[in-house]
Amino acid sequence: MKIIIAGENPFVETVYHLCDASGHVVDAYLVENFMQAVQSGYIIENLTDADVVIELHHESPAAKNELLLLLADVVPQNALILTSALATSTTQAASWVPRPERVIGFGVLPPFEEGGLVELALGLNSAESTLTRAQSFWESVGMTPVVVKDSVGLVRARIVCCIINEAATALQEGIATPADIDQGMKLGTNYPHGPLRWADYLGIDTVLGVMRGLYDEWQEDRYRPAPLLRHMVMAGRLGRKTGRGFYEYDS
Amino acid sequence: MNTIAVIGSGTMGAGIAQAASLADYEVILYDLNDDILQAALQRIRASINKGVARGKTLPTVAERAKAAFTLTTSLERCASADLVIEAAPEKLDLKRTIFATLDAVAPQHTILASNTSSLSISAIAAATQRPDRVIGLHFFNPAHIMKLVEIICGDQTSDETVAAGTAFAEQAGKTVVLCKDTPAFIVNRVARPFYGEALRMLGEEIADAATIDKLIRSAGFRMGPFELIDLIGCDVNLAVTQSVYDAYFQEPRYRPHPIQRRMVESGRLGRKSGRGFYEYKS
Repeated sequence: MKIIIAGENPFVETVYHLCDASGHVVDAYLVENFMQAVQSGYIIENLTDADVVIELHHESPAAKNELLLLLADVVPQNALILTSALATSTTQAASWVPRPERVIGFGVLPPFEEGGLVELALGLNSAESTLTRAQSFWESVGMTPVVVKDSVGLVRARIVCCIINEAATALQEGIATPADIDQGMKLGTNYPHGPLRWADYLGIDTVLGVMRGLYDEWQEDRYRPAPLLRHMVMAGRLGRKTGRGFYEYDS
Repeated sequence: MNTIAVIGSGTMGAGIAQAASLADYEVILYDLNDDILQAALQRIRASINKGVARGKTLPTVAERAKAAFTLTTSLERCASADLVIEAAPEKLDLKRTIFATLDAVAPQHTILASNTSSLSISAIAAATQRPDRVIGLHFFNPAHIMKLVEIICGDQTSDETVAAGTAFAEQAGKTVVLCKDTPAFIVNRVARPFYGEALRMLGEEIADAATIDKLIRSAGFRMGPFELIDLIGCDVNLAVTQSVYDAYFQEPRYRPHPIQRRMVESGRLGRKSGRGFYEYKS
């Protein structure tokens, strides 16, 4: 199968390796490169024979809308469109493209082992046959699909990003250092990663995107993003990928 | 620092006393009567023996530790310790009474610590004339195994007191993290969404408990939220959630979920009652 992937790291690189290792033909783009390339016209041709589109953008609904619409316009009518449902529901993302029945939401949370679980969620307009095709696709790359109800963040990203948001709020209040907050959660509750280092890995832009999506969906105070996360995104401190987030990284 | 006193010989107090005894301290263990104390000492000695059987503790260390205890029902007797760690029930009035009594009988240099997980150290310290030598040393259950101690600085806790508390915890093999005196400190606060969001998802029928647990384990957590609540006890989990919610003046994001209360009201407390989110064969 020919697969097009577009979005943000570490999601793009993780899913790329998964597809590539399974013998699919894969083209992967970071969203900023993709937009530039589309404007210059040279990758449009590359999209016209795609079987599967995997969109992995979480930073803002407007940018995600633009990216999805572009992808949906140029790929074949029968291509399967997989949209990452971390920062928007499947139904919302599908509402932005013509023929929403071919769109289904999914959720992965790097880092994950090969053969991990992928969450799948049907939007109100997704076709049942789209679910069947999505299940077959993820199985072809060694992942086990788990169907959950359509909702922003699905299960894992919602829980993990809310933990990160609480940790960022606590940090902003100056109750402890980032290292002590992370150490406390690893040793006190056996979390696999400290929440702030985990945020640096996922990307502060993605974490903020998930919280904004949850807040937009529920309009509830519990999902209000920590102002510190917003400030970090404004300042370009997106985590590991920009060399600085809650911690500093050598490039 | 040679002698530690532990006030209260329940699960946390006994665990802290055990950790101190294995770290070469003399331990004065206080509780309300001799029967409680003898039972606690038996549990501690059995637990130390288990450590030897598992190869975690050297027999010579275990023998010294088992002989390190002095049992007492007198708070005055605890005043000879260099550090007193209170692990009494989580009631502010009770803790303040204990601290006021200890403050009156203990020498100037004695540090008074509380193992509270939910009360303000500054509020406890206010019952004494030595708020600079009052500190929070929050151990995690089981205290002789879990590596973390949250060190809580009250409004007036001195740097010397923090250094002494850190030295004791590290001598006992623990890793310390420093936290300001804020409700639920670091761990119990940042962990709230792990349970709260899972309960909301269950209520929204996004997935069933087993599916949510399976997904969360796949993200690297050792246990999913529902199996963990069943292990902790739904009643204990609700009580912690309620106390954090109240301590933050009913901040909406800490609000308990109706499912939690319904589980407790219907006696589905988790493993200990044979049924919680899952069923357990006795």
